[in-house]
Amino acid sequence: MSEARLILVVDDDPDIRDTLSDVLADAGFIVSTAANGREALRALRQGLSPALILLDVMMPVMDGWQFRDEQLRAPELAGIPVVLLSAHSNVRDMVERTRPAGVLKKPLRLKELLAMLKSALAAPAPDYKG
Amino acid sequence: MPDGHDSAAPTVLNVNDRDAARYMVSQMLKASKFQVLEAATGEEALRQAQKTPDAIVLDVRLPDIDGYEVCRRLKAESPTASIPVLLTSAAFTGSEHRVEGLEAGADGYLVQPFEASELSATLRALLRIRAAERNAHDLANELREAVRIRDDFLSIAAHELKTPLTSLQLQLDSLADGLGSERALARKDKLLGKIDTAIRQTSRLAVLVDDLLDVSSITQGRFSIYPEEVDLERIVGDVNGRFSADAARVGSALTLETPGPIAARVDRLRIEQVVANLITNAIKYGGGKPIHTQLSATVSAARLIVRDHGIGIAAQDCERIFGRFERAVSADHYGGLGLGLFITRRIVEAHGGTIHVESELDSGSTFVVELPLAAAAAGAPAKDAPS
Repeated sequence: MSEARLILVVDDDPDIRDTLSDVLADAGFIVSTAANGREALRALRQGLSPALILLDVMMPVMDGWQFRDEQLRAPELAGIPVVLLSAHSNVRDMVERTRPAGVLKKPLRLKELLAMLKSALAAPAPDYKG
Repeated sequence: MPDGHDSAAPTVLNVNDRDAARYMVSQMLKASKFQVLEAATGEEALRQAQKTPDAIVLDVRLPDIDGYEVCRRLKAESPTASIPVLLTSAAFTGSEHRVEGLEAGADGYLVQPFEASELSATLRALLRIRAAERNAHDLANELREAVRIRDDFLSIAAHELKTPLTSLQLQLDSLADGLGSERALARKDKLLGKIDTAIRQTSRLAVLVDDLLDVSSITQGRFSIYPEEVDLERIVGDVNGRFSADAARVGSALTLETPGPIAARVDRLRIEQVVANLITNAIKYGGGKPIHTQLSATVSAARLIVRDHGIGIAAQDCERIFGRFERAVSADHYGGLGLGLFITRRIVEAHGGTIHVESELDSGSTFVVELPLAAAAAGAPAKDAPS
């Protein structure tokens, strides 16, 4: 595996941010974190360039939906693939609105997380037709 | 009563175009202690009915629109649809007329001449039915609302419980993977860090489950406190100390002000729960700003104040947030079961104390607890602490 890829983890729960940072770093990724959509946008606009964004849906200040709307509106950011983290079982409207590269349901297993990241990172740049 | 009549006597609208007959029926009604409104035509009846009398006595033969049609129109629109209508007639007395009246929506049909007692008994029967309908309707609404609240709560609870489970599961997976490798054994402190996080998550889960159990026992009337001799300063200090790491993680400095030991007779674990809940909320909603806890006492009561400088609470929500399942923040943005303050107030009140909050949006909140130093003296359902 060549250079380490940068993942941006966006979740309001500090323990989830810490745990994801920890296990992803063990798996060879570099990790940045943000506590809500607004912080994530700020980091991206200041030049943070992740290969993928792990995005919680339910967050204060700016939630996953709003973040995704903003991200898709900005041409320089829209291409970054997003994997959603959700505690809800009904995922379909989420997928239609946010068109992620994948959805992970909480609580998730480490194997699932790593497999999802691998496939989302390997996929060609999405064209968002489906 | 929704009709807006707050005196005990029900109001009856008496509709009859013949003056003598109308007068006589009104007299009968007044003698039976009803209040009376009158109308002499169909149109006037419809107008008077807008005042929502408790019942309408409606003669079939009217100069403009007949009683059947008036009845149909009354029943077609709220608020008049629910008013019991007793059709009367001296002329239309055959069974086909009675059937037509009832099919037009009338609740009863009396053939004249009738005795005052028959009129009043029939009206009272109709009013009883109407009252029962209203109760059933109100009950149905309450139940629907309760089910909606329960369903909202369940979905929020599921989300809340999944949050610590998420970290817990990942940490344990990671530990299992890590322990399988030699590299891991050389990094014992890292492994210990994972175990710490996992333990912290199980504590969070335990608190959530306990909150659910507490709420369940409170709503079933099974909640009791077990007072013992304690030092309130020690309790507040211990709990405050327990949260210093959590507070630091969000950037809030925790400060504590106490006057010295304060002897009191309270349920130690439950008072710890109160302090923990208030500090947890301050950390959650405190916006990373300082949190100050202050304990003071008079001869008979202690006062605990927890003040943060975070998002604050709108004035209209300051009382509501103590309700079960109530939160002043949107469920889309903030986690939380909405149980903590409900349970906290129940605990404080079981000790004979009070809790309220002073707050404004964006300028933080100040929670104030007043606690009698001797809970047993306050008449709370007290039991002696198990030894």
